[in-house]
Amino acid sequence: MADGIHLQVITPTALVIDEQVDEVVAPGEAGEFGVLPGHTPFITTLHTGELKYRKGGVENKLIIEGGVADVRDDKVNVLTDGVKDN
Amino acid sequence: MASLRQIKTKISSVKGTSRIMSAMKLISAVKLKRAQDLLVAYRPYSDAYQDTTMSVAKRCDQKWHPLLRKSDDPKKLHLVFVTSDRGLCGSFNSSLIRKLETYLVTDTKSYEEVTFSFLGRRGRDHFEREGISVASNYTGITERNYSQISEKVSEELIREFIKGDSDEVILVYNYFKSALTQEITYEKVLPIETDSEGEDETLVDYLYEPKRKGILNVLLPQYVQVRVQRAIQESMTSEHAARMTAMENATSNANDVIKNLTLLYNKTRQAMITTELMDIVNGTEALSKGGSE
Repeated sequence: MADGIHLQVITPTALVIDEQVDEVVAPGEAGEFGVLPGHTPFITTLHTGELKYRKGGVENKLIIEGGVADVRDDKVNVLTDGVKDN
Repeated sequence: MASLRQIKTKISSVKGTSRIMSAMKLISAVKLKRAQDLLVAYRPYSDAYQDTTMSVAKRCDQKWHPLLRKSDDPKKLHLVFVTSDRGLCGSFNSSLIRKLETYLVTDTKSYEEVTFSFLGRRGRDHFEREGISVASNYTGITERNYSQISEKVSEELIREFIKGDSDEVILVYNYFKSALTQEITYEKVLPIETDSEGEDETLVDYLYEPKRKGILNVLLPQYVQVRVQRAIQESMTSEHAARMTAMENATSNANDVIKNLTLLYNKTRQAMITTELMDIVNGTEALSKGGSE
């Protein structure tokens, strides 16, 4: 799949999400931010909060406990201490 | 020739040993399973962390953060050596120690000063006997406390590095390849540097949020901790695997010994019976001759 963003959510104990999505919205240090394909390289620390991602019109949510988000080359790596399913 | 009783005692003592060793093998197998699960779960996280840090470091100037400071002429080397606390795990510790000793002779000539930290009792004991001073030392690392320990270790390494007490920090540990193979690994943790200096593509710098300084202050120290914890987990898993293999071998050796001893026991017993029979036959013969006359 050429389009879309590769989202990975990884905690020290598990690879929680590893899939191709259309859009990601995450709770950044300076406020919530959204990522669409073609985003410029971006790195931020994260707050505890809701991570949302959309895939084929369906929106999914997930609570993450802080961490770091690394956005580059249509990839989003979310490295967080833990997750809770919503 | 050993008496029957002696052989019997020996057999039962070897049997006892073999029972203990096969129990240790089973325990190690369980511990290996647990450690391996934790390790396999941790690997993607630490790999991703490394990937992110490398990609940030590639876009950064050395001056932007003290942990990126690369010395042109490194003089002070700090080695962090990860072994186990306990023995009975085959060549797990000894081969690591041997490798490090040759490394110290051949590869550290350019440094003026080499300091050591030890994680695990075995490595420390060995090098203390050699008269090497130990900068810091942690023992009693288990599945429950390794993340705290790796935090402490990394804080210490970072403090030292920033103060200028070390120019380079290298981790030495057993990398867990599979239950049967472990690989001795050297890893430079500090300064944080990228492996591919050559590629000259113009990289677009990150947008940092909040400030770049803030991100680097969070990311880089955490990265060191992740690397240390990874090394500890790799080493711990390798230790259990090595012990399991060693105990497996020991059990099968003990069984061989038992087989040989049993053979010897039976041979001796038969020889004795034969001798006794001959005595009896001779005796009766002598008696009957005496009687007929």
